[in-house]
Amino acid sequence: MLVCLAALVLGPTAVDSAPRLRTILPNGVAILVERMPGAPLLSLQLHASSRYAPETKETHGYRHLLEHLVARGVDRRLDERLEAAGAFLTATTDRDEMRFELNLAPSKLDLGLASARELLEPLDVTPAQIESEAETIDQELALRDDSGLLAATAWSVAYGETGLDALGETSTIRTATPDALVQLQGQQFAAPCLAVTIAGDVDIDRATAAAKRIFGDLPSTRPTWPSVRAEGKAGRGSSAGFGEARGAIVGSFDEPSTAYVLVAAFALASEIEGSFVTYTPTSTRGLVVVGRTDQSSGVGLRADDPARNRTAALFQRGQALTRAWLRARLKSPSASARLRGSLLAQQHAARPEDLLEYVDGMSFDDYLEGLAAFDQDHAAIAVGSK
Amino acid sequence: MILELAALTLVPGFWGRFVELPDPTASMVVIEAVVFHPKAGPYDQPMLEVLARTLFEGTDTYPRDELRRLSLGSGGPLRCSTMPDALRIEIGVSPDRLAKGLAVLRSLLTEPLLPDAVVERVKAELPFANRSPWAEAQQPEVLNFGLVRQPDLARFSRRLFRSNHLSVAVSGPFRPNEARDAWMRATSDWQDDPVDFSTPEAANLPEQKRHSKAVTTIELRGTEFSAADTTVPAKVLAAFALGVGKQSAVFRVLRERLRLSYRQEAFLWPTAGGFVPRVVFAVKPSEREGDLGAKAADALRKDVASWTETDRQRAFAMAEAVFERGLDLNPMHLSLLGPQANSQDGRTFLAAYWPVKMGSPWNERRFMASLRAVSLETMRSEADASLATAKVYTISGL
Repeated sequence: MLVCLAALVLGPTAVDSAPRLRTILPNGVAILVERMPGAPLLSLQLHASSRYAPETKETHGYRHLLEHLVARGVDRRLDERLEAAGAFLTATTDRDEMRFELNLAPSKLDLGLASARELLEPLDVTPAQIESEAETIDQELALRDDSGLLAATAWSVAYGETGLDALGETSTIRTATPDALVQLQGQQFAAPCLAVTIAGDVDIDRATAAAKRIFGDLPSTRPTWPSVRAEGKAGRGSSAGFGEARGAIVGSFDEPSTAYVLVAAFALASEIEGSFVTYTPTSTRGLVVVGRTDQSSGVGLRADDPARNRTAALFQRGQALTRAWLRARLKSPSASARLRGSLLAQQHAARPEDLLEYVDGMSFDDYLEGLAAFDQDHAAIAVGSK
Repeated sequence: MILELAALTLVPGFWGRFVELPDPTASMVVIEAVVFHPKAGPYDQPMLEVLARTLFEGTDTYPRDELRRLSLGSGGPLRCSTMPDALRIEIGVSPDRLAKGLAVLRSLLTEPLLPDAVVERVKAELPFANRSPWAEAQQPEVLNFGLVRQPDLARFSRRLFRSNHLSVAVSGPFRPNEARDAWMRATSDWQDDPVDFSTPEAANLPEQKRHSKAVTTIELRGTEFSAADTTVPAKVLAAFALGVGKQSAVFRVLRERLRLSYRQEAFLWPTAGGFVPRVVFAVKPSEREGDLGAKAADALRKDVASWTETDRQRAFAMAEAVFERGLDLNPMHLSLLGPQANSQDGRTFLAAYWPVKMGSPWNERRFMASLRAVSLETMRSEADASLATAKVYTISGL
């Protein structure tokens, strides 16, 4: 067993240094407990990396369906038990992970742990239940917003089939069978893919011990076919969403160049009214998207305007905004457990503080390198509908 | 600690309300200003939307770039948004910029530039903003931005930003009275525009008939009630039972039982006269959508009639999670940004908004006690009444 005490304040950037304990169990499950004194809410999250559960066009959306079904609990009454105790479960599927978050009163840690463990019980589902859930997902897909549609297009341009958006396609989802979902569950929830994060006003040793008891008995099966995202490529694609977006192709979260691109993204976005930046931290190749949904042009014009972007003032603003973005994601129990858990499930050594170090230490030339990732020769461009 | 300042006795010329909330554990200062306005008509509502998007473009004293730099490093908000009954201005600054932040607020309120070019650009962009079907369902009024002209907007802002419409709250790691003193300095020469904001008989705006996306939204809109109504606690708890959580009536009935929708909410929407109870759900467009509102209302009323003590306890447990622990599922929608978060800015906002809206300062303990006292029968009765009187509004995606 590897035990690391992490009170991680690195480099010149001051980060709130709540005490944290990270534990890797013999079966591969990673546990991170962060004490946040006085926090009224306890966030307990189960993260499952998707590196052994690749999605193809033939299975596009199976993981999303699995998330919907698993979140109901073994007797399909998990929410009933949780909400009676004032707790709330949310579930999300991203490209690189599936995440379940339980928001609880600090005194309800044991309820949270038992509920998270329940999510890992073998799936027992009928074709009728699959069909019924597929109907709900069909309604969910109809609600996709413009920014999501633009970002999905940019991902497809950059990574083709290995960048499929996690929501899926209803017609494909309807082809899922109980056996296929059970097999997928085994890959998605293999112990080495799991991270459990607990953040709030908790006793670190007690919470860690409780989590070890709950998750230590999972078998240490390791699936054998890790998914690999294709090399990113620049290009242009049409999107059903209104607006315009550019995606800069980046490596994993802990690469310095990713920090440079993020700083450039925030700098650019700060000059474009009504713009958005999306980035989901990943241990594999990713995409930083800058877009807007109130006009169908403006992002590209700004990104391809070196004279206006290559200024020290904009570089510093980008740095400040990136720091603020990251700090906001380390502040509350929910946000911190989410970011740390997401990284931990994908790559045990990854830490948000590394990115802050890169942001603090980067030079103006590094910023220019980040900016270049958004120009028309390097970016994945989503052209929205009119 | 909450210190309230009856500003009119201390700041000559400033008649607004000011509250400071010293919080030594906070890492930044949050300034929240709520500007209440009467129900805006066809002319005023577009003015408000353009004003919200133009306000941070600079003032006579603070150029645009300096405003942009104000919040950098604090991680705090810097935005202006419209609410159905107010305009909300949020400024987050580092603790050493408390006085600067308040001076900026004063400047925004009394000497905004509202540049003509920006006004014209915003007018062109706004018809495409908030294009999500969900946002359109929540605020279905069709606004005519073409009517907005810069000189009119400047006059509008002077009349709207009179101190008697203002409620300001500030929280952060400062000493008691420090924010108050800074606000007094910032407003020492405040002078209201001689003409109060007034609006002609507020006419109803035309409502959206069709979504631009392939989604239909259906609304059951209940009857407006006053925020001073003694049944407000029962109505709030009924909103929790109807609309908060996956054991709520709308989730169980509309999503799980009828398979009508993925997203469905029941909430209390603030209006100039109080609140309106609303149920909104989104469906894939179909020929049968015209009947779905009545079908949903009927099914929900049957569900309400079957509520037991378990439902009341669950509703209260969720209310505790929201108001005591900050779970972000408050059914009292106070802006288009979603349910009011119980973060530092959310709490500061409530300190500015709640007393004016509800007639007494926000007091979590007292409010929770009032919810706890609501009986099952009363909760059921309020929920049923909101559905029984509801009118159906459909925005089609066909």
